[in-house]
Amino acid sequence: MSESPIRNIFLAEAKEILGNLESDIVMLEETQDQELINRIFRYVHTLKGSSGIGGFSNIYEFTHSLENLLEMVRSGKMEADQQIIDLLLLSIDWISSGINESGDPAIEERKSELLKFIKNFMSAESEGKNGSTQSVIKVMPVGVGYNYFRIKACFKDDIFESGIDPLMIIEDVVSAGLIKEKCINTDSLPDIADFNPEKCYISWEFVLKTKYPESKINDAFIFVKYDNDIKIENVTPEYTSERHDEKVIENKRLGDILVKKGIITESELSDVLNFQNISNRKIGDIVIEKGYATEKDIKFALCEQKRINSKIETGTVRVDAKKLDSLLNLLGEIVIGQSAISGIADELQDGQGFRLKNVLYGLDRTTREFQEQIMTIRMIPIGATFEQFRRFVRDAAKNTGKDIKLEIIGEETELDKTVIEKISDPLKHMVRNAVDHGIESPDDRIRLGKNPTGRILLKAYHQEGNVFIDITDDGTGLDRNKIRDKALAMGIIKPGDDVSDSQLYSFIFLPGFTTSENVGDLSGRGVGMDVVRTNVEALRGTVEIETEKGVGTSFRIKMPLTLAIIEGMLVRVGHNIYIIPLLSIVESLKPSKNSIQTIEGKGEVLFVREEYVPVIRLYNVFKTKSDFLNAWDGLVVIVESAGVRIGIMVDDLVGQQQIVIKNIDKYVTTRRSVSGAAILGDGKVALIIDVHGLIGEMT
Amino acid sequence: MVIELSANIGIKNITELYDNIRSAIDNGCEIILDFSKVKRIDLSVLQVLLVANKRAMQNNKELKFRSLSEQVKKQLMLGGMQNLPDTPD
Repeated sequence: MSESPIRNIFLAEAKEILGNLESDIVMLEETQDQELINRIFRYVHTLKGSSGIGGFSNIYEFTHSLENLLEMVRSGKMEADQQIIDLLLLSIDWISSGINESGDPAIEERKSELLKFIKNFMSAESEGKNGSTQSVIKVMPVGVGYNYFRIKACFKDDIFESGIDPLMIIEDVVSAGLIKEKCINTDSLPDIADFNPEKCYISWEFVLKTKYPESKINDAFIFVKYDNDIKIENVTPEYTSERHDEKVIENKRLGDILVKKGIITESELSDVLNFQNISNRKIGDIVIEKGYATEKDIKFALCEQKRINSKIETGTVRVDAKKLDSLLNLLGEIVIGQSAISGIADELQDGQGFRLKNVLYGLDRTTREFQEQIMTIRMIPIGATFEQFRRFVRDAAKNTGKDIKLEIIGEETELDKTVIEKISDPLKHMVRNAVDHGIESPDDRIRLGKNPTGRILLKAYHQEGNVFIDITDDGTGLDRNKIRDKALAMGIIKPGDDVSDSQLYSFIFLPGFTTSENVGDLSGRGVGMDVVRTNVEALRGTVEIETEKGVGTSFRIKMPLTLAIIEGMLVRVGHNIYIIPLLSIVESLKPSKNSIQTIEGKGEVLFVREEYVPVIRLYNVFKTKSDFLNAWDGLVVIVESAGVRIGIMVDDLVGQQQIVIKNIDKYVTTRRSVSGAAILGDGKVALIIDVHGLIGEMT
Repeated sequence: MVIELSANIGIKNITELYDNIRSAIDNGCEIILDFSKVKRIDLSVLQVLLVANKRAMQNNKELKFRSLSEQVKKQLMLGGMQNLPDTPD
């Protein structure tokens, strides 16, 4: 039996290999490059070797056959045609589930099926047949065998306001399988007199038996899981005989440790395990009871087991993300402390204050460098996130009868780990939209004079302290008229309203807005783009749209490189300090009286550099007091976001400094104009202005 | 009292349904809900039915349903309302 460290090494390695394999196999459809084929062969060969060492005989046996098939492809005896590629993909799907669910009869059945296909392909090829003896391999659900998931879904009470129907989501999930146990919690339903029909009171807990993997179930909740209490737990072992086997394996591991340490003998271990099978008691208790070891010995063995289980030895150093977050927090405290010391330095006599400030400048350089180092550790390339879409686009294109090529540029572009984790779902939705609603069918594309193969481009790049991700398709483009009609129907605009293209297109981000006549398998419910924008804004990002009917659509996501620290301009309004991100500031000025005008329907504007810029009085936004009532008595900070400029009226500029962002709980505020808070050197809290959100709220 | 649900019954017009049902319950009427025009419901409708049925049962009555489609029956089952007999016209 394999020991825990080796098993864990294999699991970590297998996960990485399977991810790379999937991506490479999908690329085989585009090119039969020999180096690509060699690489796929090497991955399978490595997987075979590692599984053998790790004691995964099932995987070893399977990959051995797969390797033989790939040898025929590699040596040119067989072409990697569509059927072979489908078989390879189904094989790696099986390996993924086989690693986790070994012993399950359904898994074994599926393995036999796939091995039969592999054997048939190989013998057909060696007999000189052209594969017509092969039956068509249906693209089966990725999940092999049955899985059991305990799903708890508790939605927030104002979920209807987002245009989301929880019942529809539950129906989606339930349609993926069979409910084994169901519990609908209606405890929160009040009496009819106190009932608010526009609030959600019901939650669900059920066990679903399904052929699909957890990722498919997760996908059903993709747009609600961040804001709602959704838990999905794989409980397959409890519903199959695996549970018992796992327990046995766990106990044997403890037993192995006891034998290895010379505490008990092999035959004593056998005796204990036999007794354990009958009595179902803890192995440690049985060992003590039979007098084979003392309580102290068992405690020692349990510690050793825990130590082995928690240690993952690999060739690289894996750092717990929480440790990095903790380091960043501590750095934040240092920055606050520095700011406080700087304040004290200002109060000191000239000579002493000057010397202290000098030292602080040096310390500031060091903390900035420290910050950059931590940021670098947190940054990872977006390539792996992009690569996961190859398989998705391939399968989705097949399912919709379309021919689509996915291009990826800038996979080496690095983003903060948290940003990557949170941007994955919005990206997935936009790619879904492109496949479902953007790219036309091959026939339609030919009729329109386009290449029958549609193109989706994912591009990532850095620019001016931000990271950009473009999702571009060469499909049908957004239909301006349809969007306008839908906006009219929803009462968002009135007939005769003059609405710019960019404003019109921004309506697609509103909850419940869809021009889709058909709710596709992938999208079209009017839920996704609203949540995409919310998720992107939660990352302090923005989404812009460029589209041309008949030509295609491009979504541009712009996000800060890091979520944790920014350079900010401190501004004062009355007794309060606010922070404006430096990257958003165009300029600051003291306007003349003549440059401030009031335009009917537009409000107060500032004429600067040959354009009129709307002026927003910050004291009005936050309902606070200001030293000045007239914009020309104070200062105006011109800021810009997504091509839109506004002027923020403040009393004074305090200074520029590095700001460590503290998140504000939604129970404190849900205003879009606030992205967080910071603790100043004097211990006061300053709100951080979200320029994009402020523009959105005010316009 | 027969309350006919509209084809597009849902969160956008749920308050009207709630008011009608509540009024009927308060007046002690026996309520028959006619689903002949309804293809599917959303959670807001399900909740109103649950809460109304609970109050009706407290008054020793229960809600009756007419012309439930298979789709709506399945949705009601997801909300814990199962084995609903169809009330004839």
